[in-house]
Amino acid sequence: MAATGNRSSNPAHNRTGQVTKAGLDDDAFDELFASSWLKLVRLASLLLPAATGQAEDVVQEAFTNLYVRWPQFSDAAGAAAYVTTSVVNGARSRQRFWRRHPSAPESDAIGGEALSPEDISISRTENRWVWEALQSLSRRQREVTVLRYWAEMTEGEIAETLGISTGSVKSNSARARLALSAKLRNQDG
Amino acid sequence: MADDIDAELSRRISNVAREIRPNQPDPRAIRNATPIATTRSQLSRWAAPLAAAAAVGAVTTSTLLITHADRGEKSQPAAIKPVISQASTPIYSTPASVAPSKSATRPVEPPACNSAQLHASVDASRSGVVHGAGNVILLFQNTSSTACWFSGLPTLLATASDGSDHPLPFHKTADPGYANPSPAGGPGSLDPGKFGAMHLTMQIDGCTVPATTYTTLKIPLEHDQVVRLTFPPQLALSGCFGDQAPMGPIIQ
Repeated sequence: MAATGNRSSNPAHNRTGQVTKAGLDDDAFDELFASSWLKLVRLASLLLPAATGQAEDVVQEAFTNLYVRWPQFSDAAGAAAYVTTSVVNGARSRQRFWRRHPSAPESDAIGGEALSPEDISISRTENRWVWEALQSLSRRQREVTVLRYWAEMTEGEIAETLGISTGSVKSNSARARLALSAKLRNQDG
Repeated sequence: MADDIDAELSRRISNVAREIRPNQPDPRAIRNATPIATTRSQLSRWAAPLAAAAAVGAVTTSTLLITHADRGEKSQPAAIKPVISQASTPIYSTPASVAPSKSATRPVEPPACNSAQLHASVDASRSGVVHGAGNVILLFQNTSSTACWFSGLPTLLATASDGSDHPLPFHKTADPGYANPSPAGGPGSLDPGKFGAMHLTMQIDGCTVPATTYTTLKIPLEHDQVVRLTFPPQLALSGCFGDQAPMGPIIQ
């Protein structure tokens, strides 16, 4: 008898779907998934110079890891922070993997030319330009920029998510902002 | 002016993000595919008892979820589900509700590293105390002439002066990138002469647990292999053990 959507698929959960220790139940997991999945796929898409399908894989893995640890979380905010960090790390791990294994099918996104905006269905000219500008940044600058301008995190939150100091966040953010604003002026001018 | 640039960047990046419109899956697919065992060692630890139990018809557990052995960069959540039924016949099925991974290709895997192939040491240049936490990077050089697969998140053992072994209570983080800045990026092939690493952290500030002095640190590998090194003094800075990230080849 295979598990079919029951709440006991995680051994840490009892038959009524409640976790065995103080923690969140599966309904809370589903709620977090529903409210944050799209945003996290978009976050991963902005971090990864690859097709959206890769971003979905990264987010799926992040939620899988989250569910394994679900009983450890007592509040949704902590779980949301964990899964966001996991997505950022997952995107980073993909890029490392592609660099180490350039013969892997998806490695063209890193080892060769980055995928074009068409590959991720970005249609508007302005958005394509922004996409390309983001890809021109270093990985760390792109991470800081996306977390700052898209995820609207504070410097402290970015530092915690990326596991770096706030000083590093500030310096990377300043460099990225300088580069992007220069491109913005050139593009508009 | 500065605010204008920030607002403009925020608007434009948000516009890019809004054009990304994937189809949202059902969270139950994630929950049903979530692995219980995520490492090869865990898998092998369970495989024998389960097979034996199935053979004698002793297992009545309805469902077990076990993922592929984690030998690639990341295990994929689409799990193989060995179902041991009342009839004690293992049936393997893949949940249809989970989309297959788009990046399933993995490199050819060499045999797992054994203790004779590895020389362990502490990376003094990358170990130290930052923001009240100690970072300890253990290095593992492949001193053999053949590549081997380097992976795992074993329970480390410390040997006391009386010869007794004590497991070190590190908090294991399955995500190789979670214990930043880990120099290892997860499982991988360790070529001859190359280094692998394991990242450990110690809580120093605010720790009231006294450190214990040990003589030897043991790092268990697959197939009951053990790598030994003199107990690093960096692990005796306090008695509060922090995170332990998976072992893997160092990312250049």
